[in-house]
Amino acid sequence: MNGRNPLPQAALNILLALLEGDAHGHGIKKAIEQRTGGRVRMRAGTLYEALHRLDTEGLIDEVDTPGDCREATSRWRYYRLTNEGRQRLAAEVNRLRDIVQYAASRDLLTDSDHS
Amino acid sequence: MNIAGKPRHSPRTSAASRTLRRLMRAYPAFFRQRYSSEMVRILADERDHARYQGLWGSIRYWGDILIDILVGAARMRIRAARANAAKAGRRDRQRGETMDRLFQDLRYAVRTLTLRPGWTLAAVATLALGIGATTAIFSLVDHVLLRPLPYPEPERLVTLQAYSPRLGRTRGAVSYPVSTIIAQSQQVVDRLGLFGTGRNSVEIGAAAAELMLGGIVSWEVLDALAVPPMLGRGFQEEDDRPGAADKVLLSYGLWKERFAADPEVLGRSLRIGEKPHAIIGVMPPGFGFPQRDVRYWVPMSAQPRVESYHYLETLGRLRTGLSAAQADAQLRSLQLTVPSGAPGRTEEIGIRVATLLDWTVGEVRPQLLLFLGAVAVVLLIACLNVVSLMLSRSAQRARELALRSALGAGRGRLVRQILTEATLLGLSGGLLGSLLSVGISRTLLALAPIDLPRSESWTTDGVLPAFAVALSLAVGVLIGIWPALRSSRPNLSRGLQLGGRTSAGDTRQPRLRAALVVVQIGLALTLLVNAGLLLRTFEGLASADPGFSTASILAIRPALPMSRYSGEGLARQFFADLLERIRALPQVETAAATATVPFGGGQISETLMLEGETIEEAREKPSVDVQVVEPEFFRVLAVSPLRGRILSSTDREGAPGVVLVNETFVRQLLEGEEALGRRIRLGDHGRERWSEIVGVVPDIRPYRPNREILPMVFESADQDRDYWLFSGILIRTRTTAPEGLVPQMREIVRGLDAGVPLAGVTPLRQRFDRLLTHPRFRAWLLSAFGISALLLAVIGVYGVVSNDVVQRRREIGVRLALGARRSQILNWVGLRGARLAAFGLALGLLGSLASTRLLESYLFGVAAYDTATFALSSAVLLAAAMAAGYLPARHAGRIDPVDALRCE
Repeated sequence: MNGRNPLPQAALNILLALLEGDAHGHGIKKAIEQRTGGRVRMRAGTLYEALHRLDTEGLIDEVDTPGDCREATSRWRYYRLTNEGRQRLAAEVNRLRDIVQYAASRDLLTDSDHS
Repeated sequence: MNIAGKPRHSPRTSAASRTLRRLMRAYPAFFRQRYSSEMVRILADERDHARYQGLWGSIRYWGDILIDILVGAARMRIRAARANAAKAGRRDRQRGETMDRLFQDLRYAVRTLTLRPGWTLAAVATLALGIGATTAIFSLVDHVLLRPLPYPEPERLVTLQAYSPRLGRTRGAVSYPVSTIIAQSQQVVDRLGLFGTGRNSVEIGAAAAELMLGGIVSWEVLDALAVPPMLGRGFQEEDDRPGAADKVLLSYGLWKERFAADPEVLGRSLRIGEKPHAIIGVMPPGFGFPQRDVRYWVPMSAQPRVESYHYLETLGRLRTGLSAAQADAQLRSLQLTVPSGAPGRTEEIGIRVATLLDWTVGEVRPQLLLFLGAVAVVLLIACLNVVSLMLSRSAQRARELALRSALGAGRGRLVRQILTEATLLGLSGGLLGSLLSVGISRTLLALAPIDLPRSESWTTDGVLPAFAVALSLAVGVLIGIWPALRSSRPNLSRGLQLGGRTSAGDTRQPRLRAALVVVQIGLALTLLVNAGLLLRTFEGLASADPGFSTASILAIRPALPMSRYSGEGLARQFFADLLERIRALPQVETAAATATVPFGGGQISETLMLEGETIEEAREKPSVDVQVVEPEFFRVLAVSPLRGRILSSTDREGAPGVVLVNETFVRQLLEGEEALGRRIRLGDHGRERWSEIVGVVPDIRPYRPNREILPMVFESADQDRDYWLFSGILIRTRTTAPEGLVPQMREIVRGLDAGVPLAGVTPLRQRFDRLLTHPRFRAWLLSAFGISALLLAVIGVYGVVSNDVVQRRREIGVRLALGARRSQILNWVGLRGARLAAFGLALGLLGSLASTRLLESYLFGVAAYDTATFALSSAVLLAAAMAAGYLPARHAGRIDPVDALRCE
């Protein structure tokens, strides 16, 4: 049902981050910053709102056991990409690929500064 | 699951963390419980980083998260509320999406705007100036013109105005009594009464007599106003009869200040005009009829000599269901015979109905609307500036928009996006503007003429911000709609291809901005010209020569209580004693008593008969100004005769009657013939004395300088001792600062009679200045608008030319590389500013010609198409526009060709 609408930017970034494995909010935020070289800095409100949304839509799932224990002193909620989420992400990336291919065929891809 | 609000790890107790936790309350409970502790931890972590970036970092941090949290929370709450509603019943899905998008747009807009703080600041400041000024002026207009009067059903309060068929216009006030008018208007107006005001000496307890403004009202008036006293009772019919016991109603202010708000005040008395008046009631706070500064009210018919009251106003309440226009239509055909200004005579009048509000503010309405129009022009210029800014940016954003469009954003979406940005700009400008408007309002209030009706109740209240918000939204749409429609049609391939390149691409866009600037300059010139005319008017009025010297002259006006001074010669004796003491002062050169004190002390008009005329012929002529003076008057004011002699002390009662006339008299009434020796008679009410013209003096203007000079007759008070009353004394002092003598004058008057209050002890120059408050206010305000408009237009020129330079950087580089001299580049770019200015000036001159006509009635000593003003304003604007174009031109001249070509 949601498959036709483009994924919001925040959701796309979160799903991409979760490809690396289960992570908590802070971890997802850091991962996104790392991947984009600091260009995308998600604000906390945006992040958790998107997480909540993805959770209710079933694209991600909260997991009980931390996959990574670096910050064991506190309790963070960990999230995992669901199958549905993975499919949705793939669909979105394919959609973007079509656009990029089109743009490339028009000789557009000379610089990398798309934002 | 409830772990909210109590993070387990070392809880930070700093103020920042507390604030963050408090902010979390914005979110709906289910969300807060789940996520807030994690969010606070992340935000606190970021806060630590932000602190290293100093104050600016902190500001950005808080600004960011505040918007992030509040926008997100609002969206979530709305979504939650909608989900609830959806559970209850079917809800429109469409609206949900719209809300979602709105928030998305909002967040995106905030991000784009904060990305270029300089640009945003410029736009917001420009709008703030426009919105602030407009809001302030609107609030003034609102208070003075729009607010209903503070009485129940104020739209039913009307005044009946006498219409003079002879003059062909509404003449206004009527004379006592109005029984005929009451009888004739009964079917439309209920409780019709008369009112007026008068200053009288008031003594309370043992305190010295003080002059106070009192309301003189028929009993019906307070009844018609329908404001009951807060203490005691109002006037009843039996209080308002000739011979009734004297009664008085106190204003709240008088009761509070002079009776210490004593609730037992009823039944006590105070002395008005030396007669005890019993206090029967106290009016509530804020009640001030017909003016705010009225301190007490007395019933009209109980006043002594009420038959001689003219210039009274009427007030009544329309019968239910009638509008003022309907009443006016019904009474229009009436022809009434009423007492006229002259004793024992009557006149024919018609009746016109005006609402009390119109009557109160009618005179200042055109002036306030002028201000509103002027400020609207300033706002329009400000908006055009921002439109221009938005257009310049949308050129730079063409690629972004094309990309978004390629990614699936529809046209409507792009329009909405840009409109959201514009609205956000408008609202930010409005927010800043309403703060600004409070300051502007205060300044206006301090400068506004004291007699601007209803301005005393002007406060900054809820209407002001509400208007500012409404105006901001309108401005947002106004500045956004055009750029939105224009840039939402991105040419996909071209937009993407052109990319960030800044070669001369879309040629229509700069041309459009140029057109906007031309309009701005035109509007600014129009305002400048109008302001210039008003300034020259004010200057002309202020420097107008009244025809006599005003320096070092002091005017004092003792207010003699009628009850003690109406007897034969008593008032005259008082003035004689007073003059003697004043003349004895070493600082005084000479002094003279007069019936009318110059500049606002009233005028005497009389009909005039030339020897050889019939009464009918005499009545056809307009009346003349009469100055009843002591012979010393001419020495005090340093007026010497052109021909013949001035009045002398031998022109006294019993001696042959003599008068002086002014030049206008000779020119208009005698058609330039020899005046000396001609005989005239003043007044047509029983004075049989003929006087010979013995001298001609230059025209003097003892009234406001823009009043037309009428034929004037000077008569010695000594020749007609019973008829005239002195109202004041003019004193020529030997000092340049006559105000220094004020305490001495008070002392002298008190020494003669402690029961005589002074209506004024003022240097003549100051009385003259007081006449100029309205022209000064008009000139000042329009100049402020004109200068704002000039600044905004100059910023506009600067923006367009400098944008030009940026866009043509490459072209300039090529030219330079091909050997163009820098001075040529300078000229080439600079000329562009000049060309814009020239077109703008042409437009502005047309606008000025059309608009200054509206101003004509305010002008004095300057024509509505005054060439000098037009030329000077144009020159100022041209110079400013050239200067604004020169700065970017100089920048263009310094472009390094290598750099310019490399930046491709």
